[in-house]
Amino acid sequence: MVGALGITVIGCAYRQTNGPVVPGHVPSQAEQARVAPVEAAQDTVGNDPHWIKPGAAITLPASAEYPNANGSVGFLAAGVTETAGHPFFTPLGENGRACVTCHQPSDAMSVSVETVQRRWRLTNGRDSLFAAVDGSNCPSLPQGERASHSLLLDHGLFRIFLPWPGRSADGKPVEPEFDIEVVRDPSGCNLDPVYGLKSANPMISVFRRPRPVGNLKYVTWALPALVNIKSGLLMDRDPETGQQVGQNIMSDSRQPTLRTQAVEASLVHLQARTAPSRETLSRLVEFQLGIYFAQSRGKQVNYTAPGAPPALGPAALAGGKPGVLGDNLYNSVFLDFDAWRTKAPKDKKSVTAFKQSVARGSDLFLKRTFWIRDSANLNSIGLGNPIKRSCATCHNSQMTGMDNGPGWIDLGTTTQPTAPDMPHLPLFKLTCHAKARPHPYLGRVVFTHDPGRALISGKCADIGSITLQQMRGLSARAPYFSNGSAKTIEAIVDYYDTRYKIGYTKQERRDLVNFLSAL
Amino acid sequence: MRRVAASLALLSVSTAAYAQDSGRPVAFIACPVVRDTALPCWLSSDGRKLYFLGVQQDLAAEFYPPQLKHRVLVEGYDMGGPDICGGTPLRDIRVSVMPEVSPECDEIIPAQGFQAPPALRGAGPSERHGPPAPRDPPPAPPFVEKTYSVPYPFDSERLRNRTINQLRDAAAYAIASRSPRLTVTGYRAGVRLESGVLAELEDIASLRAEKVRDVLIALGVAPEAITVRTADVSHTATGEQDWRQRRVDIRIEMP
Repeated sequence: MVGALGITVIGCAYRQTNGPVVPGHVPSQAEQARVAPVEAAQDTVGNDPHWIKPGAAITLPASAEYPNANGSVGFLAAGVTETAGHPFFTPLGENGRACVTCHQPSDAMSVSVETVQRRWRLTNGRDSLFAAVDGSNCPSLPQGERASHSLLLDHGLFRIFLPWPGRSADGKPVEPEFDIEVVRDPSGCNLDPVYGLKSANPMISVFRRPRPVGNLKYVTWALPALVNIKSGLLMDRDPETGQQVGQNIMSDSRQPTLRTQAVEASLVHLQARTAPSRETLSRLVEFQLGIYFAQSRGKQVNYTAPGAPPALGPAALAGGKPGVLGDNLYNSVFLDFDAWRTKAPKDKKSVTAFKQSVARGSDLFLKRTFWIRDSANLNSIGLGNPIKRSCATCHNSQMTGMDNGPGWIDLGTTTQPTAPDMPHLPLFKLTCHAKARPHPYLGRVVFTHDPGRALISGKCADIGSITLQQMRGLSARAPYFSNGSAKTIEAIVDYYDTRYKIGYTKQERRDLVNFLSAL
Repeated sequence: MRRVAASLALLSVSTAAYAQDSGRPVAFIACPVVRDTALPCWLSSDGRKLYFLGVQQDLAAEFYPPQLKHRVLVEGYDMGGPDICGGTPLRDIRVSVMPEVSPECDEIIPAQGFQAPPALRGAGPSERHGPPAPRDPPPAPPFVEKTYSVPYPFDSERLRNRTINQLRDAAAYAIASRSPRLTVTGYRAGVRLESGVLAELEDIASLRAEKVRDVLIALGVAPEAITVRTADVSHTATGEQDWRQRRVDIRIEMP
């Protein structure tokens, strides 16, 4: 079968004729992206010295630092990059966006809500960042009006639209274990006759933050396990090479590789008419794999100075080894902070206090135990519910704090009753079929703002499960969690404190915040 | 549909014939409770006695703990030994998490001075490198027909770390012996309780067998060499070692 995109079924996946592999859910997305209006963008830079405009011809240095409220974030690339003509910086589709639009070096290769708001001000909402397809609450809304872009402007959220029912890698519908009802639809997009669940191309819209593009040797590392410990099924494989993949790319792990992710991003976010060529994909992936980022300075402290803790700064990530399990006391997730436990002779009192606070925060992250409970795809995979463990149990992968295994877990950030009140987001009622196994802790009827992995797997057990993301460069890319529900690093700590009834003291909270801000 | 085949004159399993050497067989479904010891202990009561089930471990362990918000099927032998963590230990214990959510099962009890028995891993981060998992040497001739038996918890087709290792061994043996035929038989079992026999999900036998088949193929066994079968033995539950029937057998035949 050859479809509108010139896509041919080749057994385990789609392949565009003479082109790259396109996983099964993408053609439906691309079809909607082709329907969404494209308006002429005005990508003026304005007074925005660190913003890289799509199509700009600049020389991006191999090493750079960009200021943020907590100091500065460091950026490393494999070499100097001339952005002119480079596919990462070039609009590949119709709407004027490039990859760099949402993955800016100054924002730890994501885009912060602060930057989003600045771009709105500087361009009167005409920046391609605000493209109707997913930079507005719904393409059917009047574009250019602030209210139509409120989810992006207020919460840093882009619309992610996925076919429902989901599609397997070969494009066949996945038989879901649950039915979806739209309870609330403030964006209007889930009930929209053109873009919604009951349209001719049925699509569910959820709203998520863009994940940072960097430190990717860690993100793409594949646990050499035969069976996925979350699903109990065989691990996914790269449709091009047949090699096992890590299943940690994207918040629902829907794309197996950086190449397939780039295909989806081009056809959907950039509204390209055709998928990038294999050569373009290779250039994109090569560039992305060369990028490392991390906070490199605090307000008073250089994190990359000689004698600094060994995991800090982007060079530490460039030199690190992926796939090291760090939930231990002998080779820990973020190595050690011993250098900052005692006062250095020349340090001011305030510098010493900050360093010691960060070191204490690292101890809390690694060692402070609490009851972790009712978290599907963690407690439900054989560990028991609850377990008495620490933050590092889930955030166990050395250098990034991701999960070494496929990392989707229902931490409760998108599901009621644990999700924060988010009246701006859609609310769905998911009812599990009688023959299906229920969500392990929420039962057969679940209310959620984002079904997460369940939109891909169709499993009740996966409702609300979001793939853990890396913890680096946080100071440059607020807000946090996949739905932007934590506006600050403090809010991240507070969420977990409430969710798991940890009972951090004021000092412990401050220590954890300082620790996270330094990563 | 399944599932409880009521028995008119069931002997109470808990009062069944007491074998002096092997202990009293126990099989019941109840809420688990977790004790807030430094390393959490898991317990459950059949209404007459509190049993010690095991301690929190990790996925490499033999014992996978129960889950609050779920009832648990406990099977084993009461040997009458000294209490552990405030509960009577069970020999040959098997613990299965029942799939449906039971909100009433939500109790964490205080440590009350009890201590968990030593374990390879405590709460929090691990403190030392774990010992490498012992593995069998590569298969070597002479090869004979052989059956590998993979156990499961009740109503589950999920493969545990240790059972995946069994499948690795089975695949290695099949490949090394150039077996022309592997028969994978998934079983649906039952468990005899005081209230009657509780049978597993109707399609559990095929779910188990198909998953094992997929893994064997991923391990290099030729798909055409594998025959998949299912068997329903749920009616044979006796209340003693019923867990042995919850399994997949992989019979490796010789040329």
